[in-house]
Amino acid sequence: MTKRQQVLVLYLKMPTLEAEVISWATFDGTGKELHMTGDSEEPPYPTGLDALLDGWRLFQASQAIPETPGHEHKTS
Amino acid sequence: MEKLLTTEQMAEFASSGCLFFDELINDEINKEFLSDIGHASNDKLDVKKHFENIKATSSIPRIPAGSALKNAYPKNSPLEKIFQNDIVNGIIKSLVGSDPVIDHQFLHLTFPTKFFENTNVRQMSQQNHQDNTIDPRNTFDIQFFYFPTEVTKEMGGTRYIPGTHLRIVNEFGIARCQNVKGQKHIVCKAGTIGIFHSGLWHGAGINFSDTLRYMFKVRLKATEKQELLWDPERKYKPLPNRALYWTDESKEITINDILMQPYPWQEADTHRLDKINKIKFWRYLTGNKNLDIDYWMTRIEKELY
Repeated sequence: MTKRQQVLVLYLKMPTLEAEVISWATFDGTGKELHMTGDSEEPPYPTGLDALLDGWRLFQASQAIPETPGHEHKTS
Repeated sequence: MEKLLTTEQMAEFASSGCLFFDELINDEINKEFLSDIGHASNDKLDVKKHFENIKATSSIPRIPAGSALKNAYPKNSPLEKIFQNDIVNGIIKSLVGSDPVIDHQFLHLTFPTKFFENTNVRQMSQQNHQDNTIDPRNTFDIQFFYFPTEVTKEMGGTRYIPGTHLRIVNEFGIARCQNVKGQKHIVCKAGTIGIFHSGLWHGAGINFSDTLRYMFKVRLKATEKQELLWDPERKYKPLPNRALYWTDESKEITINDILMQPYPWQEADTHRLDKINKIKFWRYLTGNKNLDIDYWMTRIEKELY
């Protein structure tokens, strides 16, 4: 059986995994559940550490970096 | 005579980036608007045809970008009546002055689930975004929202995240934030008016009801300095410094409390930057370049050498 990915994205209140989750996103590659923007009011885990304790594996996605002042409208 | 916003309402707008006026437009005008756009029972509707029909037959005109709001809508049309409302006039004058221009307008339609059945289109909510292509100005536009029908929870009213309007991003650059603590969803009665700062993070919800949802939006730009427009006699005076942290319990809510209110999505460190940006925004709105609240600016602006 082909393995499918489930991706859980947690944004934390501080740069440490025991910090409180303030934003979250879920993408279910198994197709069992369809998640979308605005679909839940409470995070799936209270902290990043709780997600690890539940068996989620950690990876870091690229940061959203603000544009350099004065160069906001230039493209690469 | 228009009814200008109060200083408390302006402070709420400066802090949260939004204001709401429940059932401001009366039922007669709401019905007139719905009749004008040919609102019909859902079973008779075809998505594409309904939209084309509204564009072809309604009184909503094509307005070139940059046209004055004054006289933009046909005489006796429902939209002209809405913009003649004294409270609507006061809101607009307080935020974008006496002679704003229209950036753009749009009638948003959100179709119920049954319109997606037997199609290849997946019914999804709209991702969070800011209606800007990176706008670093202090000057701001307002988005004027008119809800001609009741919006129930099931109808997926506009989702918004209070307090995000000064966090500058590039439109859908924040789309990956599916859910954010403190997000809200508009649930309102017919005739409600919502006002968003042009930077407020938001997105359309998903319509799980059986009823079509409408939201008419006009984006307005100021043509004059946005300074004390709600207070033409310039009576506003900043509050004096207060004790910080080591304080007595007080239940009195001041303008400064409204301006400095925290939001659940704020990070532990950058919420202080939000406070600094709110103070800068309040300086812009009041024209007082030395104004401070709770020492946030004084602390970082005082260079002794």
